[in-house]
Amino acid sequence: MDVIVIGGGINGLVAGAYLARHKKKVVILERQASVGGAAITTEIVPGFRTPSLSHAIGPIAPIVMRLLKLDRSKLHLITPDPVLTTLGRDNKTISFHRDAVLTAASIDRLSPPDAARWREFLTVIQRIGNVIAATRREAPPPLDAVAARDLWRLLAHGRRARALGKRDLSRAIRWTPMAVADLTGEWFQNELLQAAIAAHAVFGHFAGPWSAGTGGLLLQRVADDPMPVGSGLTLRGGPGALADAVAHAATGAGATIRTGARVARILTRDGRVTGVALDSGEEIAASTVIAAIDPKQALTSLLDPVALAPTLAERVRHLRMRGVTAKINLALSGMPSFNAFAGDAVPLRGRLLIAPDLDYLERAFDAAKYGTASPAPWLEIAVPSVADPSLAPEGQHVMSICVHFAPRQLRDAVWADRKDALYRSAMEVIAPHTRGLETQVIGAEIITPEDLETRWGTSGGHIFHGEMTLDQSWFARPALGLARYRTPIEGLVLASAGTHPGGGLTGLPGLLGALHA
Amino acid sequence: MASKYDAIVIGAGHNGLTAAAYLARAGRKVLVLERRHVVGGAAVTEEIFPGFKFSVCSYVVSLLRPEIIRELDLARHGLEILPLDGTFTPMPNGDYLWRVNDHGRTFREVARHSRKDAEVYDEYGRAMVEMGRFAKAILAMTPPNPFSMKIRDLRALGDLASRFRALPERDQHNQLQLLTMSAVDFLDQWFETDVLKATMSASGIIGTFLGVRSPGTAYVLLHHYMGEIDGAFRSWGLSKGGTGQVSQAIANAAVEAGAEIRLNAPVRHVLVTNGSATGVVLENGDYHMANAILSSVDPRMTFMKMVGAEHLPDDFADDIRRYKYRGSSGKVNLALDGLPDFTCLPGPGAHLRGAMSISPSVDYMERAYDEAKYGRYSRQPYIDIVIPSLTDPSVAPPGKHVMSCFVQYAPYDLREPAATEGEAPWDTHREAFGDTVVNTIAQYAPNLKDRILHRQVLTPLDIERDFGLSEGNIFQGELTLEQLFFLRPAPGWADYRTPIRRLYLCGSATHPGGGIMAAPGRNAAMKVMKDVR
Repeated sequence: MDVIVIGGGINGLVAGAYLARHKKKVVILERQASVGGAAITTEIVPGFRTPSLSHAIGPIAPIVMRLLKLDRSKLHLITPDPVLTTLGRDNKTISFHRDAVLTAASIDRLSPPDAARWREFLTVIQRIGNVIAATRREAPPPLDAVAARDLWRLLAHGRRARALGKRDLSRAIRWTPMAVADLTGEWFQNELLQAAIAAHAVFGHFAGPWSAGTGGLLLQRVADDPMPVGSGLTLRGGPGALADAVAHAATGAGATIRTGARVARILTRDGRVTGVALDSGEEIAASTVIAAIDPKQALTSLLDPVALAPTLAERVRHLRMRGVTAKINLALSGMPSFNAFAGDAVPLRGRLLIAPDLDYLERAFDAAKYGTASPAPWLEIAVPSVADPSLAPEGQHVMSICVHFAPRQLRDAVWADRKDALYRSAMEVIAPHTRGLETQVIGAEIITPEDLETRWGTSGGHIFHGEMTLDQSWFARPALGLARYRTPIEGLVLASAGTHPGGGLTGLPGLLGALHA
Repeated sequence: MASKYDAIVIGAGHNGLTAAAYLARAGRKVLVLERRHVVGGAAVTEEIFPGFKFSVCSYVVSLLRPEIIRELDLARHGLEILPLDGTFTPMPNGDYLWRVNDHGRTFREVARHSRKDAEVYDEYGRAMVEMGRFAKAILAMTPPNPFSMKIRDLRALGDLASRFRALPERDQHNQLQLLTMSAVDFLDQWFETDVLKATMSASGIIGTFLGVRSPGTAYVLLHHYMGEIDGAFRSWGLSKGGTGQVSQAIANAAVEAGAEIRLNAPVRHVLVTNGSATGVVLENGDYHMANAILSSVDPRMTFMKMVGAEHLPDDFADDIRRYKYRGSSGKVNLALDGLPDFTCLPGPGAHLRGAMSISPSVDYMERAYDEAKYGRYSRQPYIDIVIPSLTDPSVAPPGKHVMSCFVQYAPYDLREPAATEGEAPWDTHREAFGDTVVNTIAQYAPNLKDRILHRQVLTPLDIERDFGLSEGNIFQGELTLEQLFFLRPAPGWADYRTPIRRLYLCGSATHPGGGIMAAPGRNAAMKVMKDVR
């Protein structure tokens, strides 16, 4: 075997497919029963399939699509419109459309001055996002020996940044370390609008809207996806269909995929990787191992502790990966009825958000700081069966709810005892916005950050394999000395959301990792 | 009545005076105009109650640049820094943490809480000193302008990047973390003792509207180690005669060099002609002309009040309006007829001679912040206490003491109900806030209440009213990353110049920011000397 890829998530599949296309003998090892990682669709009740974790994808980077020759037309992409509707108090809503004019019209009902600024905001943040996006399509620059090629690239980034002009460049520099609450406050007055943008920035992160650096998180998000509340793209068959498509590309190019294959150790000799050992005892030899799993697990749990220099090992142990995301998936006996929509199903094609104002988000985060789940969490909800009836029996539906904040480490409890409370608190938050939702529930799946750690194997249950704060980004993702995908162990390469450019189902870390293998 | 000066300095705080001293020493004819009856600004000593001299606002000297002490010969002009040794943190469980400069004692003390922490404490100190070397160079420099196309600025940026790259990787790692992490996250990597982390992290939040878990608070941890490098004096000290003596010494240096200082002379307007500052008009109608005007007051006062937005480019005016103050600290000054007695360490020991910190746990600190986020003052606040009269008996009558309590959080924008309509909420809640502070300390030192002869409570509103600091921010604007270095106070205007020709900023709202460093005053004076012949 030339290459072993540990982890059959999107990034592992992309890495495996790319290398297989380049005539390498590749095996992809996935511990779960199916590939996909965060992008899987699971049947929770016979006939009801839900996106287990992420209910939206990337969008997957065009360069990944191109290099893997993924056919867009065969993917059956669903591009919802509106992409998101945020449900405020007193049935007030704002709908975010693909067309800025429609969004502005929706905002105008609540706040005309904000509506007037919406298009300018989009233009500015997307211009800045584009400059950042260019840095996300390539490996971060090295800090030591800078080769001519790296210097050239850096200069190109510098030129692009300067082309922003003084005003937008200074915005980009100011916004990066700033709190997203301040950023949205510079543009808008309406709290519902501010909270919708802020929620997108803090999604998955151990941060509230008033945490410094969340402005930078928003910019990273917009670099990957120009909608400042997320586009909420998905596919027919759920995000799992994306994993299936990439897996198909991989096997089509000759790669082998083994599910239920759990790696127990990464084998090394004399500072070189030699293969992996599965927990069944089986050993597979290879000269290259791509760890498309979180860096902490790869470098501390699976690797012989003496293989890594002590300072680097300590740095990896200290990576901040405090997962805060829980997931509730529901099978429903009928179409959920939201008060604000009066029977209109169109908004349900996109996602819904319950985060009425910035203080609400911040209070939800406060709980996480003290090791408890938010008593009043903020929720991002999808009803994917509206746009994709294949997910549920006719007339029936599935609902997917991302719950924040649910910290991995509870202070006075274990998650196994808190699942019901998590479900209850989420239902209490939704209840005022719906009629009879709970009576429609046929079955429920509750996934806590602990499950993310035990079932998916993600350290700390962090959906992005490490917080994307400034000190864990770009040339420092996952950590200084590891940002160029290769590790000090020859042949061992990192390629997960834990590496640049980070999480979000773009496929980029997988591709960049493969390019450096 | 008009008279022509080479330079007029608005505000006789330590920065304004420093700028004046440097300019006067260079032979310039300098006039300093101070609104109040006393020099010092927020670095001031006042006898609020007969016999009791208080460092009303700023109460410790930490980072006063050694080159300024040297160049202005401040020792000869009356500056004497007395060491403030140690930090004492009483704990609710009856224990305490007491760190002093004596290495062996601190080791034993920390080891009492955690052997592991005691062992790592030294290594941490060494790492911080290393980090401090890099940071110190940045404090002294005039920030480069990344928004300019000039080769000189680009080269300065490049130099900075090269300096960073030249660091060993371990230091790069630490540096990056210090710049961006929260104090607690950073300390978590080193220590396990909660009270130790809480007390150390407190330095990261002083004067900011951030909590110990807020990213960006780690950097100030360095400041504690920077003084050590210079070897000139300890990192934390008290000025003999109170903090006002620092200002007075600088004022003496300025006057000796020929500067004129006028008190009770509030400036109403800066005169702007054809985009150039030409002079100032005082509240009493007097006016003075000068070749350069240096304002040591904050940007809002300078540009919105004294200059007027109509003279400013729109972008710049927006930046100045957006610049964040958000004062978060209060001060309670107490006159005592005896010393407080801490239950956990009774008697008048050496622990009272250092700083006493009410910071029993990380959660305590963070909860104090949480309340402020939603517009309340902390009901269990973080308090930094010193009793200067123990070190410097000249500030209180014999046997009596002054006690300075710096308090967080007291949000300027208090969202608690006012007693009557039209009254500022702080005017309603001032004394209740004072009670909260006294009661909080009394939980650890119950005799305190009986010792109090007089009490002065300063809320952020009072700091704004009395000292002219917008929103009561003691640093003339938040020390958050987006308002530091080449972004302070506005992108493209971090070199002490302003869009108004011959108008300069020289206060804490410029790089390197607040605290009694006096670096902004010196840097600005250098810039003026270069620009205006």
